[in-house]
Amino acid sequence: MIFTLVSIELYKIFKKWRTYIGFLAFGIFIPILIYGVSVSGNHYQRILQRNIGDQFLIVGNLVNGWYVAFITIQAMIIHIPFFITLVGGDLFAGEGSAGTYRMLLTRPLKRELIVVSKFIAGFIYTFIFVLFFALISTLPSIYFLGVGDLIVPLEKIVVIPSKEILTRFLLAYFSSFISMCVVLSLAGLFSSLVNNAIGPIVGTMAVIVIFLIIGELPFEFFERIAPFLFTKYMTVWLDAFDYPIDWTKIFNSLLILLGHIVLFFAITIFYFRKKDILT
Amino acid sequence: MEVVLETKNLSKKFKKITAVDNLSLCVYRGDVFGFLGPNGAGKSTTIRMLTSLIYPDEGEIFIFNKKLSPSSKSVLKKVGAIVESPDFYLYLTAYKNLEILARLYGFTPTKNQIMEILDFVGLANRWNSKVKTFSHGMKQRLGIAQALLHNPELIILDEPTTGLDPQGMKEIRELVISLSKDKGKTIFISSHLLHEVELIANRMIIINKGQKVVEGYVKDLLDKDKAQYVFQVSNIDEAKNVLVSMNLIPGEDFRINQNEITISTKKVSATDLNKTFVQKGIDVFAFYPRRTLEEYFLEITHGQK
Repeated sequence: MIFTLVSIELYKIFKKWRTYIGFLAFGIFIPILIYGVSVSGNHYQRILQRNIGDQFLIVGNLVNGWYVAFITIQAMIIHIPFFITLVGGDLFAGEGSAGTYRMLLTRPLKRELIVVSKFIAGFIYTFIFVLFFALISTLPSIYFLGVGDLIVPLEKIVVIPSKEILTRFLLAYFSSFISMCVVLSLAGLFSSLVNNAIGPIVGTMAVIVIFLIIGELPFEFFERIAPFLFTKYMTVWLDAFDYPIDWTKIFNSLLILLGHIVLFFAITIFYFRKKDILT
Repeated sequence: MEVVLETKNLSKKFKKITAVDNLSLCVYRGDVFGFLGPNGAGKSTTIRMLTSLIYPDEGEIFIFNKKLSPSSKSVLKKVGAIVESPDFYLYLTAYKNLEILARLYGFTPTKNQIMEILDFVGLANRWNSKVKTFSHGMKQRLGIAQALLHNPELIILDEPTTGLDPQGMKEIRELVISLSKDKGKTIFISSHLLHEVELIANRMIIINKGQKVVEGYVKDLLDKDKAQYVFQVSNIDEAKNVLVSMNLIPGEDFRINQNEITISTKKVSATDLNKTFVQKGIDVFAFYPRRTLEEYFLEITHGQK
């Protein structure tokens, strides 16, 4: 039965226009970005060389396909969570606002099964979206801009040799997927509480943005709070580009994120199991 | 008689408001069971409990002798329901909606089965149209289709004629009668259209303020065996004397209200009474049958206020 339920939920998700907004946005944005980089990449390469040329021996093209992929993966912080919440926020609330709870929940199905199927369908959507994002961020940019070493200009500058880059990106996209599953779970939880998808979408994004801000504030009070905010671990994908890779940190972050998924899922089940459907 | 649906001391509160209070009712196989009550009486809350959309605070629900609970809903396989106005996935076609909703019952209908049921409710020619293009009446008929597709034994219809035009109401009424008589379904129907219920139900319950007011056979409750007539006559006092001379008891066999006399007795037929009035020189302007469900309902629920 769960397979049937998941397939029905997926069918419903992919029959809605809002599901494709994220695909469309990145489908348009990334080719524009690649074009922009390809026409002005040389200028940017000169700036990079000027800034870090005295510290590194730079060989080949730094503004390559991998570099564009690294720029675009920054969207995992805010932009992609927004597109995930568009679907996650609608998982339950969409049924409430459409009145279809009255059809769905009068069937001989335990509500727990419905929650499980909606979450699984949401995770599958998340996986497909992250996969799409990974493919459209890497394949066209590599095709048009070529490959080479990856320069990671964050707190410290890391140069990753080309032979390691694919593994690093695979790890980053996998970690991103887990992070986005947390976003979906939170949106799903909020969605089960109300009957209008706008609230869960805005609510989830508000939580993420506020937690991100709190997590970055350079005051002792907030620094103490930061480890308890799940957003602190959502940027685990950045650790895939560290040198050397801190596997313990990545493993711990993923574990905490998985714990949040389970927590949000469990609260949803607990609440939804006895929810009075009054719409 | 086999009990198909039974509630025992069902109660539900929303914060401090008691929506349903200690409600017990019983529906037998083959019944067309009318579920009546004024607005806010607790009808929808009761139906939502019967279909597990909300759970009672107290009391129990048995469907085909199986208790309905959050952890035991399998008995709903034998139930088809429309709760308030049926809503569907507007972005899907009528066909796809029915297919999905049937699969939630655990069976995958064939195309023929879906087309048959769409034909039954008069929507076969719109099978491939998205539901967002449907009128209210069409959605109502699609609602009936989804309630029947898995061939349930008990059908719960909550205000199935709401928003329909007279032709649509007639169609739904005929459909309910056909489901009961031709297909042997047990039907639990709530409606604020008392005339509709009077025409189709054999048993009924009236609730008010969440409590049962009366339950029984429609025929018994409306005293349908008794003649119920209203006479409008030229001389009301003379008419009263005539009735008393015929051994009819005021207040029991007849009541007087301004220029009307309501007769409720089997002692004399309306035509004989009409003849007698005319023979005694009393003009009869009109006489017509009385004691509708509406009157009974108003009488009984007014008494509760």
